[in-house]
Amino acid sequence: MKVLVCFKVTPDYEALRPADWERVAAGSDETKFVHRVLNVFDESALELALRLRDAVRQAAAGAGRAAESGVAYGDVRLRALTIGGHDADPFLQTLLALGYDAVARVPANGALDFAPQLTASVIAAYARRTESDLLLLGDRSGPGDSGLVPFLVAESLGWSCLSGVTELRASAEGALRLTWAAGEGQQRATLRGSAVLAVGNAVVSCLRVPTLTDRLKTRGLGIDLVQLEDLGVHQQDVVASSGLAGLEVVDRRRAGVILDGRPPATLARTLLDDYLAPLLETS
Amino acid sequence: MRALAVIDGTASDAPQQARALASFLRAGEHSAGERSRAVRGGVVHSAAVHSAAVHRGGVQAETLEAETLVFAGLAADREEAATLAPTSAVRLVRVPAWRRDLQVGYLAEIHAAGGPDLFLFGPGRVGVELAGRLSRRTGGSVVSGVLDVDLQSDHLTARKAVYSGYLRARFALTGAPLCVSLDAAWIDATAASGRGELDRPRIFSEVVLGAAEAGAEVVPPVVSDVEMLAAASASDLVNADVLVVAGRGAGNRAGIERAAAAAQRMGAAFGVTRPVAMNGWAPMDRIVGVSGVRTAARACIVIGASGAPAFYWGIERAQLIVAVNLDDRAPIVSQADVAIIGDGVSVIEELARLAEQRRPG
Amino acid sequence: MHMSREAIVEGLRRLLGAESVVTDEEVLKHASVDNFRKLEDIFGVYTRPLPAAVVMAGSTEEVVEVLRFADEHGINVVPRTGGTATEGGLETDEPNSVVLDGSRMNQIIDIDTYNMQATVQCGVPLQVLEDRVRELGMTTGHSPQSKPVAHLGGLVATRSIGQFSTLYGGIEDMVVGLEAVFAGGRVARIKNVPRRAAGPDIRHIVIGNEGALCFITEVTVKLFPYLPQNNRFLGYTLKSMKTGFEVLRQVMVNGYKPSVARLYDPGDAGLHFSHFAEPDDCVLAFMAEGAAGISAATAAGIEAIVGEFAECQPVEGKLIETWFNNLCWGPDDIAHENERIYQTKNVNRTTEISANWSRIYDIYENALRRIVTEIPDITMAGGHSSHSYINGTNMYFNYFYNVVDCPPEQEVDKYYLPIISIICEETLRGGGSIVHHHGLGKARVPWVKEEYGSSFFMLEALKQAFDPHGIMNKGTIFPSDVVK
Repeated sequence: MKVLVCFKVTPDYEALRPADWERVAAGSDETKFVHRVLNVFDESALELALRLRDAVRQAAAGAGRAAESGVAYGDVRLRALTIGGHDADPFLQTLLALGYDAVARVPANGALDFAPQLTASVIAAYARRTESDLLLLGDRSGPGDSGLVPFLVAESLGWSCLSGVTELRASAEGALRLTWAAGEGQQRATLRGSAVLAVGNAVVSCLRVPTLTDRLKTRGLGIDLVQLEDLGVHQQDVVASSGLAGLEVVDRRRAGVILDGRPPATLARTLLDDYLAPLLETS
Repeated sequence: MRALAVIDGTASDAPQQARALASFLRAGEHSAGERSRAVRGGVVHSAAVHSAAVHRGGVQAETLEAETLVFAGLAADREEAATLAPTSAVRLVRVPAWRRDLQVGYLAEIHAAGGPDLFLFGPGRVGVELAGRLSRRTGGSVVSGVLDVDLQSDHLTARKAVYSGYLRARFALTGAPLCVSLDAAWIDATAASGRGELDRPRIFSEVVLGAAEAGAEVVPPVVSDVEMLAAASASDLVNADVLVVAGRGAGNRAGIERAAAAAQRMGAAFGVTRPVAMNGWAPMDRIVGVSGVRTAARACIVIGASGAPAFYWGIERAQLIVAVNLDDRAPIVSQADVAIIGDGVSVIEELARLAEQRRPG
Repeated sequence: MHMSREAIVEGLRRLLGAESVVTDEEVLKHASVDNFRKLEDIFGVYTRPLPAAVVMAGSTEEVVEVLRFADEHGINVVPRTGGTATEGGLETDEPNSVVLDGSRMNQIIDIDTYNMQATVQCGVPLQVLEDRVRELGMTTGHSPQSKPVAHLGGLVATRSIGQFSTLYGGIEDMVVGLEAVFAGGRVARIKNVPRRAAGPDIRHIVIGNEGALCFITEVTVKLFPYLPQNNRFLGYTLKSMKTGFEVLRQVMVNGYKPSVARLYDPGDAGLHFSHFAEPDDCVLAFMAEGAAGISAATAAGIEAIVGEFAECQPVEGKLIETWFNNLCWGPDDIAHENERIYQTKNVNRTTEISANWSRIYDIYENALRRIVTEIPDITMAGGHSSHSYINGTNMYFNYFYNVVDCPPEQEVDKYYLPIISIICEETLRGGGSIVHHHGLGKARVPWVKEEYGSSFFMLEALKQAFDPHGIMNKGTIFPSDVVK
């Protein structure tokens, strides 16, 4: 089974201050001053893929069968893809050191940030090119937070998309068991074909860490740089897709009355008497 | 401008889709999280369509004619399905559950036959999926999680939250049809749910898709051997009158447990911010915010959380927001109606003690 | 003569009241360790002897009562406030020890903006004091990474140092007077004067004693004007650590006092600066602060010095400023890191040393080479210099390893102590000091005699004079053969 995991590296938005956001809204790229982090949902996807491979190999070994023989999904080959700039390279090197069989980056410095259709075209084209059977990615990522990309990719590939995936396991036979948010509750089911799996709030949220030895062994392995044009996306498409017409800061301020001057216990009483009780009595 | 509101009645969140679309298309105040903007508009009812001259709910357009299409299960009750519609003109399309491919195909045919300029979908994953897939199928444009749309002859824009809610973006929409799914803020944008003054829905078209296929699917075709896990119910978080939400400032798991116990004694529901769940101090189904639940509680007491936008979205509808925080410069303080600078767990325990004292009997 | 656990608890209750004597097992477990054995804390496995009780002292008088009681009955006392210690100094080495916690003594006693002094009880969190004096346009100048959580008592007891030390100095430069209680219950108050030559400076018996000689109950620290509007940030990338050290040396020798002067090696830079530094880049980061003229001259002077080294490439100051604003760790950052450790079994540790300019590079290089070749499962090893002086600097080794095939309680023996050994050995071989600012704790006690050489008898004499019955924090600073 060839698994493609897509991930995004973004600035750590929490490290910016209100004044910085005003500058971003005005068009200045303040986010370039902050360190980069893996999108949290993508990070879960990357780690879940590694755990899936470990589990499938263990299942195959445990059953005394070679990975290639008769086991439902055979061995799991992992490939990672990101669309972005040079600042994603340290993360790609880490994935190589963790045993991803190949990693690739489509150079694009923010041009596709608010273009989910093009992002999906790129991912789908790469998935086809690499003959991937399964696609994993976080169910949304910044800055656009559209949540559209998994579905657009699935549409492009003619696959189903399951979103809100929180867990991936291998059954004893090496089949893929996944847990996902299906309607009212969570379901666990066996995957029976190719699909796009969009990862949500998984308990597994941290990517494991490679040793220096692992890094040394894989340092020579390159990051595949794949150009947009090679995936069928041309500069005029990028220009035409830019639909962002403006950004604005959100004003969420309320009265902001601060109760003080007395110990918090006394203030709790004021809170109850003057604010909570009157509100709840009007029902 | 012709619009088609689409509701997937086979999905479990069909009522939420319906309410959001109804609010979005309703005349009157524009109130999805916009406290400072009040817009008035007029609605002219005719037998078959709605028209509006100016601002309506989340739509600003020169003219707007809206119909609804409801996808319903093969065995679903006809009248019940039709009641979901926010307009009086309803097409009913029966389809097996989980057959998004059939739904999208049907919508694409409507478009090909000279259909509406705007397809509107409800909030949540279903709406995002349908909007996205349809736009891809038809070569149209798509925006998800929309707060409002402005459809004038010379410009078409939609607004939504970006950068984890720190900013809002305006997108210029090009390429027909426009496929738009709503921000979940529209689910309870107006206090009254339901159809209000609208006429009873009239089903003017009924179609059945996919009935010939073997066995009505109850799960997506790509999975099998399904095991239902304990249904995580967060309805108390959504529906409680008073909600206490604890953030990382509670300090540790013990702090969270104390806060939860106090909330229970107060008769309030208890939720957490995402970082608290990610620290393993509370289960994931307690998350309030964009990646969890948006509450309809009237009063929210936020303890030990600084008020990041992705969390705040989950509570912004509350009439009363109380913040208890050690840091008077935390964003939540200015975004609350009233604040106490102090230790949240102690304050909530004191509140619980007072509330218990006053309980009659 | 050893009292039973119950008798100790009963005795303490009679002295202070039951309300101040905590015997809840979860609290006791947590109080038996510090960050040295943080893995035990994260995984809920506790191997240190459980204390008999955690005593929450409310006043100097109560501290006196407890220490007198402990001295009389030979009970080991571990003084504690914020609990952010990293070297095992807060571990309970003896069964039925008493952890004497000063965090309830959290009053800010006086802020004197004319004499530029603030007096606080030992349990005041540094962040609280800093926020309060900032409202008055002042700063303590003390900003260790633990600032949001650490208390003044512990910060003085460990000879702590902060991020702005190159301008303001370490805690020893900031302390004016203090009050401490010694074993047996004697109270010493040292008055607040700017300087005196009335014999040796006895404050230095207290500052850095790590609870092995006395319990600090009150501290007076200096205040400085707070002028953040004049802050200037400078950053550079370069390829060679040797060059980096030389740049730092020149800055110090030429008399400039930036509040921050740091040099990161590629491994450590990768954790912080990968958004603008290449994988093989070292990074120099400077911050100048103070009165406008001073800050401007400092920045200009540094720029001129760095300009002499062609390999140093400047980066935008805003990058350094943003990084710096996100440097301190509050309780939520700690919790997040603990969850990461729990999921990945990947642990981050640090060990900091100091040496003269001519020795520091060799110590750094030799220690790192040995760590990487001798220790298994290392995922990152590097370091940075963050506190410079006219005659030398520190090296803050920063390293991560995966805990493999090893239960959490054995991590210290399998990985951490062997790495500490390497660093201490190489540092002593290079004529440096085995501990710059974290304190000896219990972890580095095996090297204390070699650290002191012939002067060790002076240290020994302090223990024998001030803690003759050996009840103060057994195992910290003083090897067991020193204690009677």
